[in-house]
This record gives sequence, structure tokens and C-alpha cells, in this order.
Amino acid sequence: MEFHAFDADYVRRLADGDPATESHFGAYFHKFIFLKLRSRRVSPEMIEDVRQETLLRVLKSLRHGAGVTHPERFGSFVNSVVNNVLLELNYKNSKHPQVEEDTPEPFDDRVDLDATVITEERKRMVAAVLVGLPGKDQDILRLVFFEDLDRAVICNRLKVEPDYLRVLLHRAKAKFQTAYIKRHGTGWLGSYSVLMWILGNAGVLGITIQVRWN
Amino acid sequence: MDHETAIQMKASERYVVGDLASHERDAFEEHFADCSRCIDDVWMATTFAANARAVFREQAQAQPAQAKPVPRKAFFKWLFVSPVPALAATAFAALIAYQNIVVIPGTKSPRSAVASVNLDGDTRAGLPKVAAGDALRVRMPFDHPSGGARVFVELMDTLGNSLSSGPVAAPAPNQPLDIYFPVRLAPGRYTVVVRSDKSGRAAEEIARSSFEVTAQETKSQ
Repeated sequence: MEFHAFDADYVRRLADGDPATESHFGAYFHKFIFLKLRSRRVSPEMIEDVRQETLLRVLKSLRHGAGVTHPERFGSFVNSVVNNVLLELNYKNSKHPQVEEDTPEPFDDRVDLDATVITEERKRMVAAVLVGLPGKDQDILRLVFFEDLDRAVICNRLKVEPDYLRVLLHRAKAKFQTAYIKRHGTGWLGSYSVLMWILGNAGVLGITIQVRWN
Repeated sequence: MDHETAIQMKASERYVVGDLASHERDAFEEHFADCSRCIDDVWMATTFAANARAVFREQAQAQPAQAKPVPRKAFFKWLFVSPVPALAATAFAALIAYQNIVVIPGTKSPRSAVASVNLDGDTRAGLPKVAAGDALRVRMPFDHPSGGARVFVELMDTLGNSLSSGPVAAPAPNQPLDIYFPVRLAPGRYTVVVRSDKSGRAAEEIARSSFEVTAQETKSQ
């Protein structure tokens, strides 16, 4: 079962400049680009550059260019634009390095990258999840997230199979997710699906939607 | 990559911790760009990972401070649990200090002339007199037929209290017994008793002589 977020109607509304769809488009791919570039340890400044350039190019393509041939794969299309923009910026930066010779050594970039998703409340929830785990599992997660050790080294040191590590991560994340949803409801995650349904049926319902994404 | 495959391989968690090969990562990104469920999963895993890292970092920063002992508090803690060792240590320290400052220097320091007295038994009409001094040297005739190598001597006051006692070497034949008592005597009457040695213990009395210590300087006899 696939959970498609996009269809031809969505793409059409976006091309027509529908404010609610534009807001959703910005919010959804704001997160997508953040997640994608975070995994590549791209700096926050560059993430912002890629985001702005990507969204601009996609909207231009929809409104003045060829558009997309497979609306149901609109996300994949945006992903390819992100890849192109990232390659171009990397190439540009390599030809014109912005780092001066006397620039100090960079510190752990994950601190800056993660700052937008770390809150005191979330830390308390995560701490509660960690406390509920056996000591060995806590050690594994500490080695993964804090020590940032290689997975093979962790498995070898703590005598666990790679599958166990994946299952542990999955369970810990699931517990956190349960606590998070219990606290906040489904938040933007759940409201997104509801919004998609409303957007898809707005014409049938005969309503005008004004949504502001924060 | 389809959704079922992503679920089966736990792609969300592996993606967040960088556990996917580059081709798997690219394929999963292409999938979750279009899959609302998977982007939710990746976001949740990312949020968990970032906050877990922050929690572990804070724990690591807090642990050294908690484990670091306060030196003065830790040092004196035992004192309040049980004061006896502390008092005993203080007493021993005071004793050692007294010995080092007073007693030992006193024994090594120069002394005034030792008072000396010749005793010939209590048969004389008057008691020999000796001036008070830092120590006392006693010479008395010794005529003991057993000829033992050692004799026991004891210095007593008028109440019979032993002021100094112990074995000394017996003199050679026809030689007087020459005894040194390292005591400071107050004016008064004292008695020296000599006993024979029997298997390392004091036995029968051999001789006894008394003398008198005076406050005024008196020419010793």
C-alpha cells in the first residue's frame, strides 16, 4: 500500500497559485529537504539556499515550463531538482571556496543541524523512553547517537546482531512517537492527511480553504 | 523502492543513523519524497535521534560534576561518622610532638653535674646528704658471695614507692657497685635496695642504704 501525497489535482492547484496548496508545498518540502540534506551533513546555511532555489525552480517549471509528466510522483520530481541544485551549489563552492585560510576548525555540525528539532519537552520524552529501556539497550543507543560509533563496532562490542540494533532503534522511535502523539495528537503528521483529503475534495465541497502553515 | 520494502528493511531508522548504502539511500529518498507515511517516520526518527543525542550529551556533561568529590567534604567526612579515630590520631600526634620537642631533646641536651653519694649501709649514725640535681650517682660497697653477673637495684622514697629499678651488671670482686639513676629527686629521704638475681628475677636482698636529698647545695660525701 502506498501513501501518495500528490496527484494531478494537487499539481494543478499549485501551478494555479492556490495559497493553501502553496503553503502545503512549502511546508512539506521544507521538511523533506531538511531531512535529506541533514543526512548528508550539509550546513544549515546551505540547506536554506538549496530549499529556496529548489522551490523556486519547481514553481517556475510548473507555471512556465514543461511541468511534470507523472503528478503522482511529484515528490520524486522535486527530489531530482534538489539533487541538481545541490550538485550545482557544491560545484560553485568548490570553484569559489568561501572559507578563508584563517577560518577556525568547524565544530560538530549536527549541533546546528539538530537545533531546529530539539526542544526541552522532546528531550524529556526521549529521556523517559530511554529510562524505560534495559541498560544494555541504553548503551547501544548512546553508542549510536552520542559516540557515533560504526554500527559494526557497536555490534561487535556489545555482542548483538545488526538486526537487533535496527529493531531497537525502531522500538525506541515507536515509543517516542506514541508519547509524542499522546501529548500533541498527530500534529502536522496527521493533519497533513486530513488536509490532503480536504484539498482534494474542496471543489466537490464547494469551499475555499485558507491555511497558514507555521 | 516501494512502501512495503521500506517498512521491511526499517529504512526510516537506518536512514537517520546513516546505515543505508548510497544506492539504498537514494532510492529511499525518492520514495519518501512521495510517501506521506514514510516522511512522517523519517521525521520522527530524526527528532528522536537529535533529542537522544542531546540527552546523552547532557548526561555526559552532568556525570563528571556529580562524580567529582568535594575534596574538603570528602576528607573530613570520616571524622563525623566516627570521632574516635580522629581523637586517637590527635592524641598520638600530640604525644609524638611532645616526645620530639621535649623528651628527646631533654635526654640529648647537656646536664648539670650529677649528684654523687657514697653509701655504706644504714649503719652510720647520720644519713648521707646529697643536693637535688638532675640525676643521681650512687656508689656503695658490694660484697656478695654468690658472685652473680647481675643484680637488681631499686630506688624508693620514704613511702616505699619505687622511683627507679632494674638489673645492672654486678661489679668485679672488691669493687663498689656504681649505679646511675636518671631521676630528679625532690628533697626528702630515699633508699637504695640491692637484690640478687635468680633466673632473671629479683631474689633476696643483699644490701640497703638510705640517703637524704636536701634543697641546699651540700657537699657530697
